[in-house]
Amino acid sequence: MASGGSTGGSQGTTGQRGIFYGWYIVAAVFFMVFVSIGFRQSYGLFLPSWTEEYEVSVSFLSTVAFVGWMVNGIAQPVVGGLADRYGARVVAGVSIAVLGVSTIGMAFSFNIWALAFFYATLASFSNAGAMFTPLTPLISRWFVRRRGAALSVITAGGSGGAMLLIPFAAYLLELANWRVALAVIAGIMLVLVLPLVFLVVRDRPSAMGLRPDGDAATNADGSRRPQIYDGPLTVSHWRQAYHSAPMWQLTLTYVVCGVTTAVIAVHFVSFAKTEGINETTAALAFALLSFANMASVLIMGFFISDRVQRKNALTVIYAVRGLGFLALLVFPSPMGLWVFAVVAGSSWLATVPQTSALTAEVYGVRNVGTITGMLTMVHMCAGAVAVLVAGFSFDYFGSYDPFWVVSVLMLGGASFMAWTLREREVSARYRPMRLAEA
Amino acid sequence: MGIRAHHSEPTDSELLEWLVHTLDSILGQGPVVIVTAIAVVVIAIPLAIAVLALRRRGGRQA
Repeated sequence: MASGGSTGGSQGTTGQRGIFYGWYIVAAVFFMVFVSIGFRQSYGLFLPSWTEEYEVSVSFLSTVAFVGWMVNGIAQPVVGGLADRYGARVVAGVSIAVLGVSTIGMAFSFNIWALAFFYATLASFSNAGAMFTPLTPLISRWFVRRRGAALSVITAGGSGGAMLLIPFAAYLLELANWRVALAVIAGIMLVLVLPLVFLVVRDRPSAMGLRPDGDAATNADGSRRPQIYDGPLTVSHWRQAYHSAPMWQLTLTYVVCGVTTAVIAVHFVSFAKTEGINETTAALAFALLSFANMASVLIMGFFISDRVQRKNALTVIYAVRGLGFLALLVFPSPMGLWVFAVVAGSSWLATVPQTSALTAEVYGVRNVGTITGMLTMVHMCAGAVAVLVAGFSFDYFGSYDPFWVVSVLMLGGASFMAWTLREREVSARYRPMRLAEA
Repeated sequence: MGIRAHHSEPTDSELLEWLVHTLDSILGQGPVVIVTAIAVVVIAIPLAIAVLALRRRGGRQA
């Protein structure tokens, strides 16, 4: 079990009555992630309209999506670095503003090239600044003992956004057209999210005279309460992180995470058709996966993450996901799909808050934006490659089973890799070394 | 109901279409009702957060 005392403010006393202000910041960025991921995942809804209006092929639009995916991945360490340097508030605020303007640009595009430009470059780049990466340093400064819980709430925002904004965009398409739907989403970004971020978010608790977790400024004996401790591997530059084992352990496990999630996201329909699963069953199984995912992120965040070693949580998460893929191999359809939805779904997004929190605790908060961005970039690039490999594998074998076998083996390896991480020796939770800037 | 991509992987339009069809059959409501209901939620969330956060800050300063 982690000792709260090792992270500053062990007594758990609060320096104020009522809800700690950090939770309002969590709520505000929850909504930002809700909108930015909801918009991002609505892309597929517009494809039929675009192919009809611009007379382009689905392959062309898939290429645009792929370029956008890569741009979004490459942008991650950039926005993370900017958040480390200038603070998450300005990075998130500017990003959501650019995202809103580029979405308007998409809505009023006069030809497909303009639309492709706005989506694949400006929208994809700025979207990275309105998602998890720049928020890791922000939340890591506001929360120490409850870091896992706070990061989990934000991650759940991504699930919530997809659950509400995709139907919202779909029915707007039915009521009006794709231009109106995009303009409305842009309006939400610029009129609701942007002011909320600037109004509520503050980069550091010290800017408001507060301490992380809402702890009192002084201890009972009158001494000043420490803010955030660095750990033994705290780095002054993000490149130094690659000289230590945990960075490679986190990178390799995240590669497996990217591979296994991206393949399902892209090949799900093809897999369902191959297995003879009907449309309604496939859609309901995916809905079940979504709910299992959101529930598990919150349960893991509030009841488990901050109470156990994070590497143990990751070990279990990757093992559970491996069992989900195993279900696709051993159970007949559609039972395998239902088991997969529940078992793998409960592990889907749970890796994100655990990995982000662990990164902050091992390498310190000063460069955590850049380091998280590097991890996310690798996650996304691995996912993109895996999508292609899974396609080739299917073409060659005529089945997804060989890829599921590889996935089970990789997830077993990732689980073992996470378990071997020596968290008690490298994390500020267990070995606080010196005071960091809060 | 959205595809559980981690970091903005492209979505599958056919799956989204399936999801919307399934949602249609479950809810049995017209698009106006659903859009209005979601719009109310989407507007209420940030307004509630902003009001509560500002009240919190006002309370601290007082």
